[in-house]
Amino acid sequence: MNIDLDASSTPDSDGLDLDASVAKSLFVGRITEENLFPYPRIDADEAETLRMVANSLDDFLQDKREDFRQWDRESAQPEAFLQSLRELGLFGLIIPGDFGGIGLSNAGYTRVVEQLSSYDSSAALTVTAHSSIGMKGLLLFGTDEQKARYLPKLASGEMIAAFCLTESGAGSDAASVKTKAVKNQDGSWTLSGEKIWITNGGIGDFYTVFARTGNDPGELSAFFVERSWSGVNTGAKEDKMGIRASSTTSVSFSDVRVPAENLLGEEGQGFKIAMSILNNGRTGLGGGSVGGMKACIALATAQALERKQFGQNIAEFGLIKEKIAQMAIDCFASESVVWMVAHYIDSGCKDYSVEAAISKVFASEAMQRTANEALQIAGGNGFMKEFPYEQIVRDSRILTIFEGTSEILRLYIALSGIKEAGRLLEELAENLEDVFNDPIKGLGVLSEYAGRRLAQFTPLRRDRMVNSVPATLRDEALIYDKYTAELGRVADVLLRRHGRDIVGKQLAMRRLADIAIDLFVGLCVLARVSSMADGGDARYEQAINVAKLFSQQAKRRMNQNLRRIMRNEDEELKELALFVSSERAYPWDVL
Amino acid sequence: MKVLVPVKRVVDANVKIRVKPDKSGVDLTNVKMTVNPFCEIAIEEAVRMKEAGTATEVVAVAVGVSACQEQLRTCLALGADRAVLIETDVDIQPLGVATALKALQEKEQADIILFGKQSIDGDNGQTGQMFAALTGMPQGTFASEVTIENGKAYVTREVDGGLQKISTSLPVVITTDLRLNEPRYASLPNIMKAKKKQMDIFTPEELGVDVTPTLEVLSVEPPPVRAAGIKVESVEELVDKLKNEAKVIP
Repeated sequence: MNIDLDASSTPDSDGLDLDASVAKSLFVGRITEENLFPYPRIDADEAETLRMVANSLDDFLQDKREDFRQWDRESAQPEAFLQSLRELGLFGLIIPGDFGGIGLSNAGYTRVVEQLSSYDSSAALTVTAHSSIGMKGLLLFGTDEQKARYLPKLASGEMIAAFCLTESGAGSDAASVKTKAVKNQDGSWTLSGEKIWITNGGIGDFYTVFARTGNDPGELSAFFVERSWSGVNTGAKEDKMGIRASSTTSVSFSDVRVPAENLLGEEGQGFKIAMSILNNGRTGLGGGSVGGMKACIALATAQALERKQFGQNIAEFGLIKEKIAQMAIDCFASESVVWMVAHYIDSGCKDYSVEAAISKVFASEAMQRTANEALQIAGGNGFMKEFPYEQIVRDSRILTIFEGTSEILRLYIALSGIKEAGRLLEELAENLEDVFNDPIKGLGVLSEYAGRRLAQFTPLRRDRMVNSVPATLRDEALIYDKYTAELGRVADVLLRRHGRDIVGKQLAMRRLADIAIDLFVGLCVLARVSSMADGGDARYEQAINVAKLFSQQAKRRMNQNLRRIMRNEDEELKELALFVSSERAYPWDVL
Repeated sequence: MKVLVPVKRVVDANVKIRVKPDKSGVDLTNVKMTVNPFCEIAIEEAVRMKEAGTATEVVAVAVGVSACQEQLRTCLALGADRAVLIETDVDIQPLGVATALKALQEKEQADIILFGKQSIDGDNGQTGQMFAALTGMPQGTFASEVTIENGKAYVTREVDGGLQKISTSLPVVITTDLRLNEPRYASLPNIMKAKKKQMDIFTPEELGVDVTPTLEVLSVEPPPVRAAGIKVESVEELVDKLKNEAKVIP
């Protein structure tokens, strides 16, 4: 009957608390230090393998730049290219060696995706739609028989996988799927419905399909469907703004007979399975964003050093320096958070969905900022198709839309955090009964809770992370210390004020999410820089500088978000939106 | 038939190299390193010999720092059967490498020793020839085509103004030119398999050789920065400048 704010913990060999969620704990004012420090390091053996893989990919991709541009225009990847992806083994990245893959860890996979994405988004997407989501369900939840049947073909790329969840009426609201699977007497299923915007739809042979199997909306089940089966059809290739060479089509199922042994996991568990797959796959997109940013930084620095205006390199100008520094901060922060989340997954952490969502929101938006600024630095050239910038901007636009929009993920981050805070309140309410039944025990409950609250929500400096960060980053550690306490405090206040209605306060939720994003990303940066060896060189000094700069920027944003949670013009804003929407147009004119 | 392929760890061709401030050499910190491209061609040729049934074993060997293991692993991923590192921290130079390789050859008794014609860092282009001289083996340098038949090596050499075809007895030293073949990419499954292949590490002392440099590097200088060009108004002005300023036409 303890109010256990620290939850029971099962530490792993690295001292990680596998039950804890760092990001969720932030909403109760707690920094789960053991899951942040020391920053994870990949073991030397896998690092050597990854360098070799990266070198091999460089050799393979660096003379294909012109091809990638052409395939973007033609909106197709030639079969010969897919074949070379197969021969290189890129469809088996995360499949265990026993099944013919190379069994990379999530972190290793993320790094390989980064390398691919630094050359071409469409090529990276063909690989990630297969590995991150297309066949991930089989890997996570498949039976031994299902794995033996499909993994070898998926590893060799004989079968390319696609993830089929989205429908015209089921986008962010994934539970409202209409595709139906009806159980037949012999135990098999009859599947009918249509999925849209399926990455790898046109080149895929193996679809992980989500369909309704119960009367309740949202009662979904997952199935493996082969393209060669009767009744499976793919639509025309979508004509997209970006990632044009990657295959996106609709996939329809008209009374497709799916054998009983192709049900994935348990009947009715489809929604959970879909979310687990997406959570687990988010680091792929994060890695892709990091790769894109690195490519942008290489382009932008070369441009800034070569382009002369007013008699000097534009790299000398403050406004260009500001952009290049921001690109570096964004890339470093994204890399830090994506790598940390990949490590959580590899270590067996059970609850990383909020951290994964944060890494996806942050890295994808950072990539878009970086792409825009790289184009801006190139000026008029940036706008010309002759140069790579416009394609990078087009290709990166999808990042904040697919696999969970930035909006839905922010709500998810905030609601999950608030739920954690609410759970504590409920426990307190339950335990209050005990206070009267058993005053002695109850006293312990109350005093512990009161003590925690005092420690969490008052700006008392408790020197968290004092042993983990170098002296030069003490002030930055205090920023995260303070604002974590603040987040806990406002989450508590909002919960008490709105109760369950909090769900409808989307603008407040968004601000809570943004604070949590800044805190978690900032803590990852802090942990990473704290774990770096002081080589006494510029590389180390500037990493310290990045940590300081990110912390200052985060502090300003968090401050602003905090203030606006309490004092804002949200109602006026919504009123205006309602008016404009009801007019169905901009309602004014100067005439 | 055994093929020994010496490979060198060099700065990747795409890296814009920087000279250390004290001009003692090229700054290698955090610089991407790869297998010397000509050595990669040699590995490819050896692996093709094995695939064609001419060779039975391909052994990659490097002389240098411990980190050379990474390049040897790449060779294993490209199809070499095993690797040997002769580990030393000294600045390796052609004569030292050739001496160390001679000692290794005495153990290995390879039939073909396939070198890259030169490394893209030092550009010495000497190691293969020095090795041939030390061992007394025949050599076919700058090969653009190699055939092994009936106990003989037929090598097409790229020489100034044309091609020279020679035949030699075995064992033979061959150095590869650019057009010999186009190396494959290391596939990811092969990179994983390479981790399980045998790699032996010896020190020069264990082989009873001395690889101490015989040349002293006095200074390494970056190429001068190219001065900006100018625009001329007319053909006359151009001719005038070429004659009087550039002095390239009389």
